[in-house]
Amino acid sequence: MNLSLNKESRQKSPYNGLRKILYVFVLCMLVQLNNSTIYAQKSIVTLNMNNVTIEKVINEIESKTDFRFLYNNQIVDVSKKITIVVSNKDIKQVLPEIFKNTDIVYTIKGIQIVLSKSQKNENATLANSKKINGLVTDNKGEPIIGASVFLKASNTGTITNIDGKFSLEVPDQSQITISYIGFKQTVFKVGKDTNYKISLEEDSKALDEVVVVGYGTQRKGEMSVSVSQLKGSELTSISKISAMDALGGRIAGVDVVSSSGAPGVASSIRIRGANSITSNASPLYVIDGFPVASNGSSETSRLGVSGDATDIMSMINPDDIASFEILKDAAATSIYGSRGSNGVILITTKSGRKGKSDISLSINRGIQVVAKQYNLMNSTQFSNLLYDEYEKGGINMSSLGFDPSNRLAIPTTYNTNWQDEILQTGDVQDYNLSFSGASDNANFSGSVGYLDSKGIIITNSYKRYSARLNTEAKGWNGRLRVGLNTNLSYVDEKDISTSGVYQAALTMAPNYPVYYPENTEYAGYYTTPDTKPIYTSLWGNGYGVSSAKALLKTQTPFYQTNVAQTPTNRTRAIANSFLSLEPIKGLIFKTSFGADLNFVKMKYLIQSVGPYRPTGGSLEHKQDQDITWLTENTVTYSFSNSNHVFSALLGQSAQKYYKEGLGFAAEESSPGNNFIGNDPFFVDGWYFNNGVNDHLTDTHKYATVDGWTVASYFTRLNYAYQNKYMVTATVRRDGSSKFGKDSKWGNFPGIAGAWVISKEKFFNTKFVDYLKLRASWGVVGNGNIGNYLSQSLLTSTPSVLIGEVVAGTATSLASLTDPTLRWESTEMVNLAFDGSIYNRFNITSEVYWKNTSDLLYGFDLPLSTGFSNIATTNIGSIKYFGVELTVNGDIIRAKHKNDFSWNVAFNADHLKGKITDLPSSTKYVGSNIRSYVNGDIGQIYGYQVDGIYNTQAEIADPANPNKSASLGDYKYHDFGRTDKNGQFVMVPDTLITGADRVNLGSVNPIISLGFNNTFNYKNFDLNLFFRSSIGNKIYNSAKSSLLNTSNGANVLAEAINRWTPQNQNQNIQAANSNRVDPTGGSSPLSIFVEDGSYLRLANLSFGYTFPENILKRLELKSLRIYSSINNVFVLTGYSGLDPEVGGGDVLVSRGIDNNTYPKTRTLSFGLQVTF
Amino acid sequence: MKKIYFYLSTLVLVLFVGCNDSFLDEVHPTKKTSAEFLTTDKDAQEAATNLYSYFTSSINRYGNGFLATFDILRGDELTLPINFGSNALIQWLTLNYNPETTEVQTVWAKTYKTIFNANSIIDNVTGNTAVGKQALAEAYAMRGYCYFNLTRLFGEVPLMLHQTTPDTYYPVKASEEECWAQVFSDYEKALQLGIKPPVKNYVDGRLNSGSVNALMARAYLLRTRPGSDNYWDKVKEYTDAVEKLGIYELEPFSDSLSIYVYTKGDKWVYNKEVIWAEGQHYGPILGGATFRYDDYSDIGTEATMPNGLTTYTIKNEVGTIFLPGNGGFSGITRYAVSNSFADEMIKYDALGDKRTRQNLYYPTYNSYKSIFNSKTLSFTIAIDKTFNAADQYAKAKETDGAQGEYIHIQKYKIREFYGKNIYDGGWHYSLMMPIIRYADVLLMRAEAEYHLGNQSAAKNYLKKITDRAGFAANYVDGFSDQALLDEILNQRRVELFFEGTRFSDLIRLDMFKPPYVGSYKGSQPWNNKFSVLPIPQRELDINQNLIQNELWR
Repeated sequence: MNLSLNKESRQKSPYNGLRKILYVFVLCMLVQLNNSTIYAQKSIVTLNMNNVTIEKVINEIESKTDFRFLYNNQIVDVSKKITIVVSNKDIKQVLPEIFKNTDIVYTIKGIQIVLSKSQKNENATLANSKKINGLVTDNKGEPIIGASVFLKASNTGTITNIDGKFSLEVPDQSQITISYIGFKQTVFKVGKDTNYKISLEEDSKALDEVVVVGYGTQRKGEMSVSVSQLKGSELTSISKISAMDALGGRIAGVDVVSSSGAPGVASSIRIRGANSITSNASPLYVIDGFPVASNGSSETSRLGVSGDATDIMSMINPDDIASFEILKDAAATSIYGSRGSNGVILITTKSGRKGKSDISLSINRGIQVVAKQYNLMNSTQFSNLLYDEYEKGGINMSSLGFDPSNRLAIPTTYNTNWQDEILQTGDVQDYNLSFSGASDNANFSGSVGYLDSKGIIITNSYKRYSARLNTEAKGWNGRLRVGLNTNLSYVDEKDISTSGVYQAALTMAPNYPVYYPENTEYAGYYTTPDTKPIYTSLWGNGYGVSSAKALLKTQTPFYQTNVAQTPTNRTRAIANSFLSLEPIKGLIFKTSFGADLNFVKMKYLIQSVGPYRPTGGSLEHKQDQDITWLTENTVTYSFSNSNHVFSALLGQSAQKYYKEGLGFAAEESSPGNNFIGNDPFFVDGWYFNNGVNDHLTDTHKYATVDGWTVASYFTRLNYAYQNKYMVTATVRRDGSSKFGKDSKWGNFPGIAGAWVISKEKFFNTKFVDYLKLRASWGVVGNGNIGNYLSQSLLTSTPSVLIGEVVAGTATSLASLTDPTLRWESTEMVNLAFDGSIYNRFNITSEVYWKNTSDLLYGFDLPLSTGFSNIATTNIGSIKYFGVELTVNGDIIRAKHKNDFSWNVAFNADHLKGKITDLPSSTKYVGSNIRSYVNGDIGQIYGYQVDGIYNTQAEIADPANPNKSASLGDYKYHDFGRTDKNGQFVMVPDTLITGADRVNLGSVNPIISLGFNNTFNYKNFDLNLFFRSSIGNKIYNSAKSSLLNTSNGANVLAEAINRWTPQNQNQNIQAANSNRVDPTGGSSPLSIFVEDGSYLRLANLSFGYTFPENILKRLELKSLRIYSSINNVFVLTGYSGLDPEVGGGDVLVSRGIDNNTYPKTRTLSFGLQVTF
Repeated sequence: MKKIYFYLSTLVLVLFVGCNDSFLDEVHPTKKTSAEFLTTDKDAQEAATNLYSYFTSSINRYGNGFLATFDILRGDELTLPINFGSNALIQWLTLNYNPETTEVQTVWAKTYKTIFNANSIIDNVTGNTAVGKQALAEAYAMRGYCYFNLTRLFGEVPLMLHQTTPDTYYPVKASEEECWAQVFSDYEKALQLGIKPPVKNYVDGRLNSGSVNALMARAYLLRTRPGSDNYWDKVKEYTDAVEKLGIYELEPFSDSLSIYVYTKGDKWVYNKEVIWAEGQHYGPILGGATFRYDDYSDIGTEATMPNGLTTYTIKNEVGTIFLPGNGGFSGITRYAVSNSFADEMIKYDALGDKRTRQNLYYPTYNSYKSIFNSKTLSFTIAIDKTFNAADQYAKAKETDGAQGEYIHIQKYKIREFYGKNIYDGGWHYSLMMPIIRYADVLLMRAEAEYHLGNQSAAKNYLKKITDRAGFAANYVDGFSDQALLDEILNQRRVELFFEGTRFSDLIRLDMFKPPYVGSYKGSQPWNNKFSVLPIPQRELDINQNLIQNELWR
């Protein structure tokens, strides 16, 4: 029989190219059938049931044997009551008993028993009917077993058999509907033919899609909570180190801002705005069910050498990700209770799929260039500027030996473009080999990856080696499942202070050569303004002392890149294992245990050797290890029939994080005392204790320890009636070690309901195919704060008093604390609809209101309390209102496979927030970016510039608020003053004080947009992804400091046009090294606040998938080549390098362009092949 | 079969309840918490020791410290050389400070921090044991000293008398009278608790009955105003208490510089004159608090002078350290003496006062030049010129410093214990800065006796100072009445020059006004408000209960 099946399909299959795939498929079937002979031996049943439905009998058989019944309950009526008494009979003898006197016919396929409606009975009722035959396949030609085939608007129908075939007696001209989970429903009209081939299109957006929701999955059609899904496959063409890089703009309400373009540096992600002021507002990441401990804080060392914050996601190979699910509303996130208020990002890595056994290789190679650079002064322009600055600053330049006639302060022999010197063309190579396979009882999926990225700043590099293996095995007739997911990665980075390097390159005088020239004393060494000998050696005595005084003593950018050594290694292993048992059908006990091990080794060395000598050599070596373990136990019960879908979850979890670190650090106190280089304990620059008398005391060595625990209980009920009404209720109870002794526990409920109104009889709007209304409410928490904040720790230091070597220990309280510290909680109401119109567009729109109260907030205290703030307490609240819109669909739909098609995914969101309550003493949070109580969040506060002082009379004017101004200084607007009671009054006080800072604009966009376009034609695909932000302001702090004509640093070339008595430019101040700035110089100025709206073509990728005939010749399953450009262009009026500026939370720090790591443009080519 | 499921199910259910509440206990692996603090004598001792962290880094009086900034730069002792590079200093000399000035906030913050620490002891230590009682006494004394600083600098401030609680986050100001009363009562409480007496010849930096009495006298001195004799008896009472301890005396002039030294190598330097002092220790942050050196250097030293005065000193052939003048080897900032002060010093110099030559870089000195060897990266020093005293002074007077000719200060020149720390191999140095010394007590006493009508007693006390300075034995005999008072004040100015007492003296003598201060080029127009510091803006912004000092509104 098996052979004949094989033969038949070989002869009849029109898809000869699919022969191999079919062959594999058939092989799988062979395995299945072989198994059935084993099962058959266990197929003896005993039943004693009186007047029960057939359904109950079926369930009973399922629970007692290995057999599974497969049927469509809309076709097959199993509600008939029967009586059956059999003892130790083979199933084959029992089945006729059960189905006698019914219209049900059955076939046994292995352990599957397929039930269908007898055609004979139907025939009698149908007039003008004829028998049609059909084959249902997926779009790759593989037969689909068990697809429902219906006569539209009737109960007449059947399901496809093991070959994907069906036959059905239907009236002429009738419409036949074919549906199967995971595929788009297809309708065809019965014409003259009697044989039909129907290819179902896979439907990733269909309602039957299964979505991961935390501790389980749910069919999208049955969901009532707000979850957005992004498939890993949608991001494959985008060159990336971290999956986060590609997430920005893809999902409504998810805001991704990268603080630095440096490889491996964390982006800041906010889901529906920042709920919290001081506590971390990052979402919770759950990787394959394992909530990973936030490691987003930067690694700070004893010497204050701090790397950038590490991106959790950068430790996961993006190619391994099957899907992201982003839980947005409180009803969805409440299953993660106390960690749910900032949203939850669930990451599911790939697992083996039954019937598929693939080996895939993907290769991506790309180059990175700086998208835009600053135009800075050249050495002549800069030298002139310096002369002006110091002359205006009151220094007698001619007495210092400078020639007033040519006004050059320092030699202009060299003209170095420091930006060019530190920037390079970056390079990314990414290789991934993945493999997966599955049989009935086991599946596996694994990958190995290697990524090597060379940053655009010299010596900045990042390498990642990753490996993953996900396996699962079933036993005990499928009742017992055991699985293990493992992710390993090792990152090797040359971690440099990229922003420091870049800043130094921008400010360093162009007058230095990069290296000392030939025939000078230090030929070949980097030049630097740090020490005087260099001037002498370079420019002779004539300029020596004076130029040293005149120049800003900036570090050479090569200090960080070439002199300092900062290698960092990170090793991360996440392993999560589970065992589940299904003693009764639908009831599953699952227990899992996992661990996340993180090991970081960081070194730092600066040796004070050579003519380039930092003020002191220093060295640090530290190792941190943290481990998080998690144990979870859940029990779920699910039940479904034609009308009811019900599932219940009850669970418990415990998680513990523990971190230990050891390090040592040493410094030289004065240059030339090169104890590091000369010390025998340092080998090759690094410290090794060789057992000889150790110079390092306790003061050099340090240890850190840290830890927290979370314990939880949770439950969830899902119920759907007729796929029309559905409800989800969740409660989680969480306890955390981080909170006060008596306030550790918190309860987080959520409830959501949905109504598929389009299924109601009264709903007859033609163009709407589907419409679901959803509403949810929930309370979720946030405990994303540091440890030991509810109790005041004591600080002990060795103390020195006069006359004693060490007087003893000095101990004091480190902070003011709140012993009743408790959860921050967010209450959220979400209203939404999911719709589908014209069978073409899927639309989801959501509106939400949320209110976070008991904010975890370390508010500022008067210093008279002894402290500048309280560590963390619960005070204040924030409200948000937001609207989100997502539209997916086909603008142009392909009628045939090779036709042109255009698919779009569009999302937009708008968010408005305000702080509604703060401690009475605090009117706002933030400094340059402020959020006032009852005002809109994220406003830029600074001074309004009314131009520049052109005449002495303007300065002498009694109303002038800045009497100590010089000609050419900015003229700040005097708005008001603080009265005797400390209240601001709009009465100018002829002084420029903090009271004169006014609102200069909002950093919040009116709307954020993402717009993805996919075009397919024949085997070509083209993807254009646009991102846009409209209506936000940026404080261009970078420009403000690059136009600072008073501190000896290099500035933008446009400052040639600075104010002079002859050229009364009203935008750029005169050069003056002795400027008295009443604003203090760090506050935003109105002239540097710019509109930050933009439209960016964030990604363009173009691919070609090789056709079957070529694949066949190459014996490959699939082959695709593509090319991709990230950051193709940006349209904006913003004058800085890029309108997407880094920064933290919108409440206090977003929207400031601090000129960190320049944005890049990446061009890459890739190949994806499946064997 | 069914039974197996049952057992398995039971097992899984048991796993659900395997978690108890102690799992959530938060216990720091190494650090103690407030709950366990101040319950033992050891805690009390450690907390008392911690009070002296008031004198560390940015708080200390001389090294980059705020008291130097307020007490020296706002007085009439200094002037500015041209091309003076540090704006941070100019702002104090030219009275350009306001509620947003960083240093104003720093003094406020650090002082209240120390008050919090003292209050922790006062609230929690019972004083039932000798150790506890001593800790309590020190806490009162230190709190008194903190309110003394706040009151004399800010006029009126909030009084925080207990550890901060949410109820006391936003205090109101007390009146100036209440603030002074707090200073006196805290000092008095320390004495009542029987704070330990001082040890002869030994200063360990801790408060004792000697220093508390001396500080009490100073507080009453500052409380007096011209025409008021309310407190002269108090000044007399407390200086008398210091004198009666019988352990302080003036160091002989030849050794007077030892008032700045407390370790030399690993040896403690004994001292009879210093009543209370703070220790300074310079070195890498990782050097920690280790003061013992195995190898200290005599060759060249690096010193940190009052705020911003980082300079390099070089030892000359006779072992005296000097500060190079303009045209020296590096463009480093230097202070110069004001003309009025130079006049006083030079007048005394003619009368045999040795302090002039000791403290000023005048009248005769060698100028040195440094020769940098770029191969060995080292400096060698050679005499450049020798300056004649009279010529030098005349030139300085004539040009008012326009040509960079100044009389520079070299009071703090003892840096001989700069050496390699045996513990970490790093380079450190240490020195002692007197907060109050016996010469001050004698001068206060002289002034008090004068105001109480005992001119001969006044002369006796003054004579101790002039004798040591090298004046003729009968020098003080020629003064009486107002001339005697003027002489006491002049001697006070010269003796305590650059030690941070002058600003307070100007205030109490009602001399903090032109022509004494505010005459430097670029000074703010004189306003009486400069006699107090404004309450920091941050404090006003956060604490709505606090109102700016009336002078600054």
